[in-house]
Amino acid sequence: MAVHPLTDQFVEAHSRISLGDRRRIAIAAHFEVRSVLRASRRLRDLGLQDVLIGSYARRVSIWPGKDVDVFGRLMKHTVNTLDPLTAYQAFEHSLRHYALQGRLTKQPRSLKVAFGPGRPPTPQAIRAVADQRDWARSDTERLVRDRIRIPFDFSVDVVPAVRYGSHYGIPDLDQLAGGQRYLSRRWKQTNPVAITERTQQRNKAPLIGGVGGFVPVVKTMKQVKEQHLSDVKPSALYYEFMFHEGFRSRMISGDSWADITASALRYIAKRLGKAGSDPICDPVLGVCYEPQPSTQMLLHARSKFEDLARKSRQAITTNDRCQAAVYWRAVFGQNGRSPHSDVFPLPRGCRSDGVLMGAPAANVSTGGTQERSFGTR
Amino acid sequence: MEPGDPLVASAAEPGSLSSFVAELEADGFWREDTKTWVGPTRRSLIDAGHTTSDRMSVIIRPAWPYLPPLLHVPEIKAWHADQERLCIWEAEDNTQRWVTLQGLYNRIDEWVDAEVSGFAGAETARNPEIYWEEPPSWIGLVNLDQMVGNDRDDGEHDEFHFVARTTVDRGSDPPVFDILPGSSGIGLDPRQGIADQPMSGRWFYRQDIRRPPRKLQELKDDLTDTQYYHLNKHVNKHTGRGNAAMFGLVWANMEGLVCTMILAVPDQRGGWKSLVGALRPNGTEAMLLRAGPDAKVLHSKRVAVIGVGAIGSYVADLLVRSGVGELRLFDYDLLWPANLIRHAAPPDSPPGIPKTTAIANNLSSFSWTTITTSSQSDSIIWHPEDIRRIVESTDLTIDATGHGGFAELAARVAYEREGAYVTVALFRGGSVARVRRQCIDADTPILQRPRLDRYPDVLPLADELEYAGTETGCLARIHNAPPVAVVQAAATAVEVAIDHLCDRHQQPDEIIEVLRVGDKPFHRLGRLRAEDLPLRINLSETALSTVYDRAATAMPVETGGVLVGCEVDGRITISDAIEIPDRDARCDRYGVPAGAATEAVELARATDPRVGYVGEWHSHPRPSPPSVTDQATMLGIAQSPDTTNPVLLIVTPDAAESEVQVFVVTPAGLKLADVTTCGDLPDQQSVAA
Repeated sequence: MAVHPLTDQFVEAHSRISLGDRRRIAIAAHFEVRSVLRASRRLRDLGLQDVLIGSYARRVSIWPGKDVDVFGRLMKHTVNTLDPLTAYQAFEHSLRHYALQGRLTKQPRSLKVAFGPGRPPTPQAIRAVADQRDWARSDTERLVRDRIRIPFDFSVDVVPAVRYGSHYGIPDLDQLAGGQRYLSRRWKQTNPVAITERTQQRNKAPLIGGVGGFVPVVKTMKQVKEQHLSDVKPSALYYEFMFHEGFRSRMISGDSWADITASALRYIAKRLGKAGSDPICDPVLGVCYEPQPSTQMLLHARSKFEDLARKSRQAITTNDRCQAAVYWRAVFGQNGRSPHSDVFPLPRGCRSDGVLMGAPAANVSTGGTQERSFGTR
Repeated sequence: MEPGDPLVASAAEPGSLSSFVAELEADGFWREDTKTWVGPTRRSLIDAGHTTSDRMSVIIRPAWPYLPPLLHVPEIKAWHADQERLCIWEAEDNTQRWVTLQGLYNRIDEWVDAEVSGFAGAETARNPEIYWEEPPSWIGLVNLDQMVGNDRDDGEHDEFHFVARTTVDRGSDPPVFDILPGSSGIGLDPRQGIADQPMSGRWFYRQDIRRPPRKLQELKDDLTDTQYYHLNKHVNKHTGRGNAAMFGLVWANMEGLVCTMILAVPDQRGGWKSLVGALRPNGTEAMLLRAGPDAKVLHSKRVAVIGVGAIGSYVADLLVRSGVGELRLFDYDLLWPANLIRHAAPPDSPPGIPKTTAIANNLSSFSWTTITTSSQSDSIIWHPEDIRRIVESTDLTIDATGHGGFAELAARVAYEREGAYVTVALFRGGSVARVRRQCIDADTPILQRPRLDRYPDVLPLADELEYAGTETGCLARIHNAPPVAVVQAAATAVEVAIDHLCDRHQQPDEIIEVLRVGDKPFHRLGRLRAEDLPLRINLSETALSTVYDRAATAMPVETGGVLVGCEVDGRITISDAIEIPDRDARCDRYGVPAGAATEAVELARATDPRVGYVGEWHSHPRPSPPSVTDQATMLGIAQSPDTTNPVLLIVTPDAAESEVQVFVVTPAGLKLADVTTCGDLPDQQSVAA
């Protein structure tokens, strides 16, 4: 048990790494694109059943936010009945008015629709989502008003898919160039829907303060990775898969956010040590994470996470509450949401240099009643 | 004088010398040899009967005008005229009155006047042998007060004994005798000459004498009849047996007892010859005369020194030399040859001897200090109970271990037991010395200092600058501090210790001495001052978030308001920021109407009565320093009777160039502060006295 669990600070840190209004903007954008897809007769004829996938669906997206993934499942088809290029072109056609706006980008596995302050989701999309999700009216109107001021550049990625056994197949246009004798081999097997479901399942236990532990710990890991191993392979999804394993085996556990976070960092450091011979796998498909990280990548990541695990260990064992917070601040780092603030907040009476503040001396100054004038001219 | 004259070449100011010589020659002096000018004797010397000679000599010495000229007056026999040379200048005289002939004459006349009224009342010199007709040929080490005693009467006389420290056959060195009170008690008389066995002497005390004797007959003339009888008896008894005898005429001047001491050595013809000796004081009192004015107080003090390595050994050494009565030394470490370079132990100390023993041995001659040592194991100093015992049994405990952890532990124990404690250490490769005192109520407990700005942290340098290398043991790295830094640190620590032991407390409770310049705040040599330290303020994350969010929302126009908070650990702490919207604000202007600031502060105080006005904040859409208007407004606010050192926070919310700067109004204007973020204020129950 952590000497100082710093529960309030962890809850606040989780809040600070969450997307806030950006999540709502992203969901509204998703709604807008989904409406466009659903309006396409061609896609409807192919049996379109769209679903939100990716970090937004798994609720593990963190500040500053990234692209939203829409899984465009064409349920009337399997990998044996539809060519991936045909499926891809059907989606491209449905999104053609975005192409006219210059917002559509073709990617090997998806079609990217750009959003940002200059091209936010429509007020109608925001209000429609708000109705569905019961957002407070004031929040909704604030969002409609501020949507052009929120500095959030992102895209909605539309991923075409067909059935592939009990899973799904998605196109990979880069692979089509070589040609494949069998149609099914032109599709890449995946199942993001099941991963979302597996995440929801995993988040049911353990509970920390009545809240599922898995999702916040994954988000924490993503923040930590972004802070200390930004743009370094393997990606955060690799670690997320690792967490499925760790939570399933109960190697990652704890009664407080501090304990479970320290446990998770310790697990990563340890698991990276043997990941070369015992690869990390997709929790649903059971296949190894691709592309597998090189030995050098693993060594580099392991060294970093060992250091973070050490810090977290110090954080949960120190008797000094302020020092504990300082260790956690070093682990969490910053995320630019508030340019001068760390993700992990300081407890009451603690300084950022780890010093416990003494008793305040009462201040009776009122500042005087005179008028003040400031300005550069 | 010619430029090539050797005397001119030896002068520091040849022009001044030439001018003086010109005056001499104009007054009838002529050059007798390279450095001597002979001329008419000053009339006052003849009139006072000091000489009948009409010629006297002025002898120029090198380094003119820093050394005064000597004056030789034939026949003169007065006190303060040894070997016919007038003693007219004090040893440290730097008045340079002698650069003019008139100045020299004036001084001669003053001397004559002083001689007429008698030098005795003003006499302080304790070396009367200089007046003897022959120069001293031996040295005696004596404690006259001990030998003669305090309760003495005029005409008293008694026995003493003396023993040679060196023998006459040691080449050209004069023999040295220890002259000790009382008879030798062992009845040994050497058969021949001067030997190492104790020999007999006799002292003769007179209340007052006219002048120091210049020869044996004058000495005898100063004795009472009884003394005269005993002198002859004593000398004849011993010299008659072919042995040396010693006798001395003792009297008192302003500074204490003085003595002309004679060694009577048998000659070939069955008589004896008298040899005057130069007496030099010996013993505790004589040594403590040089220990400074605090020695008497320190004699009753007990001090413990924990850690007798480089700094600790010099601390111990200086404490003993300063007169401390009891010293307890603790260190389990042994002394090896490599340690000696910066250790106070003698260079020939046996390898492997405990450091405590080496120092105790070295200081054993200073008999006024009782030194005890402990070098059993490290547990003796690491066990809190042992530290408690040390602290409670001494007037002061000094930590010189150089171990940060131990320094803190000892400070903790000393504070709990209300014991006086000083800790000294060198940092940053010996470029910074720090001495901390925790002795009196006014001293901030050492454990509380890390959070107080006036006790800055001395951050270490890179390992290669901090350490010279590694020798034995587990990570036993050799600190890079040179011997001179060690001695400086020790001297400062002892200065602080004595200041406390003498109950003066003129020293601050913490001294940081910069011995070699480095990064800020150690960029200036000497004692670290408050103005060397960066100005620091605390800014709560709540306030930071508020100013940033409000400023971002208000973009592109400015906004602002007041800052509330209080002082925590002596540091201005901004606990919250309150926005006071200004409808007329523009991208380059923001204002607060009269009364609005006070109103906002009162509102904040309703929530937390500890907080009050701290300063102002406003946004700048683009990064820029405080404008002239900003500065003028802040200086105006600082004039308010209830406002001291108001703070100005400027926030630039621009995502690309976001910036928060805090300035404090000081008498020298607005000064940029180092910002430390902090959590909200401690619980409301917590209020400093």
